[in-house]
This record gives sequence, structure tokens and C-alpha cells, in this order.
Amino acid sequence: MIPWRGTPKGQWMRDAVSFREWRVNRSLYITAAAVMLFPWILILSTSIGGPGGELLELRAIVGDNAGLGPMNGWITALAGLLALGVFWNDRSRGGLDTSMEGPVSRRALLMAKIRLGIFTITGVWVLLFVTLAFIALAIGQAGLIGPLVVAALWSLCSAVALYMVTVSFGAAMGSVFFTALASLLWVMLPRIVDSVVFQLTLGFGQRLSLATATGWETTLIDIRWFSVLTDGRPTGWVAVLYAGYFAALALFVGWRALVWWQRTPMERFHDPFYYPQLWNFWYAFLAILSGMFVAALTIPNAGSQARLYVGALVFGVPLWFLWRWIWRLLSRNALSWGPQS
Amino acid sequence: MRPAIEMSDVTKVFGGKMALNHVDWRVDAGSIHGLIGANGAGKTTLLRLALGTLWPDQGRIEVLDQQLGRENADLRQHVHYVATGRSLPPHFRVDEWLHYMGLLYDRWDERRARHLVEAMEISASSIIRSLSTGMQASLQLAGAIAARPALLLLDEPTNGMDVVVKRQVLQLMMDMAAAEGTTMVLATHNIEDVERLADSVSVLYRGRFVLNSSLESLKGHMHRLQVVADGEWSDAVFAQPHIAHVEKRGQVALVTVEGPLEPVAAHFREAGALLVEPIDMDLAEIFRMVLEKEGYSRDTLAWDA
Repeated sequence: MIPWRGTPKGQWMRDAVSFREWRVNRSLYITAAAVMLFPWILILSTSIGGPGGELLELRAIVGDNAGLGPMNGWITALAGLLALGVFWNDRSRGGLDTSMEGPVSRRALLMAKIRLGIFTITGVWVLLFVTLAFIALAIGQAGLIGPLVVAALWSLCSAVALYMVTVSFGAAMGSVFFTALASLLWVMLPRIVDSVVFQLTLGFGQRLSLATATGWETTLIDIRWFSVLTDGRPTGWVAVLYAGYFAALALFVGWRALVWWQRTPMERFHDPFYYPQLWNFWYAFLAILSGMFVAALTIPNAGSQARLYVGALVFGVPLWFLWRWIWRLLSRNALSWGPQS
Repeated sequence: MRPAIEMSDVTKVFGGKMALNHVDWRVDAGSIHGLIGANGAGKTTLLRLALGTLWPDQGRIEVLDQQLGRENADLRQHVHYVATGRSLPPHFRVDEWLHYMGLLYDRWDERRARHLVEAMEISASSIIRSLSTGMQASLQLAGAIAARPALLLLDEPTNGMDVVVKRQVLQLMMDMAAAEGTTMVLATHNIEDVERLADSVSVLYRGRFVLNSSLESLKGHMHRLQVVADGEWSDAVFAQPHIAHVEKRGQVALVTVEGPLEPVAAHFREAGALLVEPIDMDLAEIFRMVLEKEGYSRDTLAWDA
């Protein structure tokens, strides 16, 4: 007889879906949290352990020079990678398809990923905030706690937003490559728009979208802050405003993720895009890249950013159709995946 | 009898290719139904439609008196699907997987699961990916039996199992059907399994049913006689309406009879046969006769290859 061990030790979860999600992806959640905290632990241990000047160092950390600011981009980027990982791992090793054949709703499966991801990110930020607040109190800088709350809130919301956006793309695409690409484009888009607006308006003698702009030009400042990965970060009420935007975005894309996830026919679960219309964005991406390339080669003085962008747009339209034709040809004859029709 | 599965006019298309073409199908509650078809005939598609994980492009499906929609998770408390090659979570230990199943299914029988896994000599601490294909299939079946479903959909469930385990598993399924009144659908290439287990049978060919019948009526309808004559047989003797097929080997003829056997046997005795003896006709032969009579080519019978 083989000895029976009964309920495995440490399996404290009583909900089947949460138990499964944790068992399949627990190494990712734990590793992500550890890697998110690692640079911070290094900064803190260096500051505390350094010879003399500890107070100054700690003040600097709490006051943001070496504190939340640099940590934000790192944690947010890892949040995006975590979302990518939990889908990828579940599809490839976790038996996600098989689990859907049991009495489990699709909604519950996705909600478990959302819940555990947000729990991980929030846990990291709460730990950071509590540590910083404690240090602030310890060094007699209680006044820094207010700005810390705002900074932590903004950072938390931006990280959750990227996690949710990537989950949402993961719920509409069966390919990790396209999910990663879509998330990357989403992160870059505000910075690209910011750069394009700036370059195009240079020609009109205006410098829109610069953080130092004043007057009506300020309507376009901080486009880049719509990206979750920014240089620096907003402060004060602007940070609260952007935190609200990221929170609303997270809710919206979370809702879309559930809708896409629940509506996708099972046979499309490993297709690059569940919705064939999404192929058009892939053609657009290829058209923009190749349009930039063709514009740089063919337009005189294409070194001017404005000319390059306009040229890329002009070339991009026919190139979109060309890429569409090429991709469909390839998918019929050479690629094992591609648009169905 | 109440149907466990009822499909009407169901069509399913994958990427422009029609997997099921306006199919009507009924499986009676409490029966064991054999589903036979060549690879690509549409068996797995049919089972996954009944499970509610695939959605039909057209038609209506009712399972356990519930019309299927998009989610169907609640229904799957009572409908269980087992397939060879279906990936169980490879990094789970066996006891973790059973724990998960216990959390998942309302009617989970822990004692039975424990008993079955021990009987199959699967170690509870094994990692699932380290188990052989046959052991993984056995584990799935143990899970299915312990979940005590009202409807069990089995897709080539005994593939990869050795003869002894396969016999044990088939016995377990029969015991379960007898004890719990579980409806079972057994999609397989193995006609022996169907013959041993099933009450009714369907043959699927290129997305359409070409045969749907109870096993009893199928067997009661087709017979074979071995008749031995004193000399050469004359062709006129075989010109009888119930004789479906004749294979002559000198004085001996093998006669396939469709319908009642006794009148045909009496006819041969009157014609002077030295020996008139009914011989067993296996299910594969019966299928072949029925389908060829219906005008389907041997290609239809590729499952028997």
C-alpha cells in the first residue's frame, strides 16, 4: 500500500480557483515581490550601514532623491512582466485549458490572476510606504509622510494600471509576443505622442508639451505622464489626479479583460489574436516602422523629425495594405499561425 | 427515457472547415453510449460541445435538462470529461491535484479517490509529469469517478494503458454506471470496449452520423450462418430477401442475415444443407455490413483499420 498523505500541508486555501492560481504561479508572485524589493533593500542597507551621514542619506531616501522615484519605474515594469508571466506560465505549464473543462467559470480564473497580482503589487508598495514612514518618523521628519502617501499612491496606481493593461491584452491574445508588444506600445505611446507633438510644433515656433511651458501651451504638458514609465514623477495634486486616472484605467481595462476573456471561443485560445480585427493593429505597427524607414531613405532632409513623421504617415497608408497582403500570403503558405481569412 | 444529451441541428466550423454538419444526437440518461469514428470524424468536437467548452455555430444543445449557453461552469459539476493526452497540471503533486479536485467538486468522494489512487498504485507524492501516459489517464479516471458525475464523457480513455490496468478501469466504469446510474459516452477506436460496455452506439463520419442504434437491436438485426452443402451451392438458393451477404468457399458458405434468423435457417435445411450453424458476428463486422448496405465506402470504416 502506498502511504496516503491526505490534504497537502500548507494548502490553506479553501477556494479551488485561488488554490490553483497560487499553486501554478506562486513562484512568479513570490519572485516578483522579491525582485521588486531588492534594489530598495540594497539602498536602505547601504544607507543605514554606511559610515556617518546616515541621517542625511535617510533624509534623501525619504525625501525622494533615492527613494520612491527610482523605485517606481522598476516596480511598474516588473508588474507588467508579472502579468505577462502569469498568463504565459499558465498557458504553457499550468494546464489552463484543462482547468476550463472543470466547473470553473472563466471569470473566476481571470479574477484569481487579477486578485493575486494586485495583492503582490500592493503588498510591495505598502511595505515600502510603511518602511519610509517609519524612517521619516524616526528621523523627525513627520512632515514628509504626506508627500510619501501621495507618491506611494501614484506609484501603486501606475503599477496596477500596467499590470491590468497587460492582463487585459493577455485576455485578448493567445501569444505572449503580441501581448508583450502591445503592452510595450501602450507604455511608449504617451511618450511617442509627446515627442511627435513637440517635434511637429517646433516648426510653428511653439514648444508644446514641454514641462517648462507656460500659458495655453501647458494644456499639452505632461502627456508623458500618461505613460506608466516616466522620467521623474508628478507631485502634489497632479500626482493624485494621475493616480485617479490610472485607477480608473485599471478598472476599465479590467472590465474589458473580463469581457474579452468570457467571449472568446475556446478554439481561439491559442491564436495570436482572439479577435481577427486586431490583426489590423499588427499591420499598422509594421506599416509605421517600415514607413519611418522608407521616409528616412527617400525624403530629402528627412533628418528633420517633422518631415520624417509626416513622410512615415504618407508611406504608412499603402504599406498597411502591403503588409496585410504579405501577412495573409505568409499565413496561408508558410506560417502555422495567422489571420484565418 | 429522459435524454442526458440532446443535440439538434448542431454545426461547428473551425477556420472554415466544417467539423460537425447539422448533427442530431441523443444519449439516454443512465445508458453507456459508444461513439465511434475515424480520426478527425468529429468525436472530440462533439464531446466538448456536450461539455459546454466549445460553442456551436448553429443548433441547440441540452445536457441534463439544461440548455447550454456560454459559461456552463455550474453544469460541469455534474458533467466530467476525461481524455487521453489532456494535460493535467504537470507540476502538481498527485495529492495536490486531488486536493484541488476536492475543492472543485461538490460531490467529491475523498475516500473513493484515495482508494482508487492506491489501487492504481500511484504514489500520492508523485509529480504528475513524472507519471506515464497510462498512469495520468488512470489518475484522470480516478478523479472522474470520485467526482461522481451524472454524465461522464470519455475520449479514448484507455489509450496508453496496459491490458491489466485497462481491464480494471473498464470494470470500475461499469461498476460506477451500475451503482450511480451514471450516463457515459465512450468515444473510442476500440470496438471491443464498446461491445463490452455500451448499450447504444453511434458512428460519426466526416462530421455526420451514419449510424445511431442500440447495440441490442443492432446485434438482434444482423446474424451469420455457416451452411454446408453436399455439393456445390447454386446461386438461386441465396436469392432470399433477408440474405445481406454471402461468402462461398466450396461447399461451405458464410451467410449474413438481416432480420430474423430462423426462417433463413429453415430455408437452408429445406434446401438440403448438411449443416446449418449460427456463428458469432463481432460488432466490427456488423458495422461494416450495415454501413456498406447504406452505401458508405470502406473509408467510413477507417476506425476499424
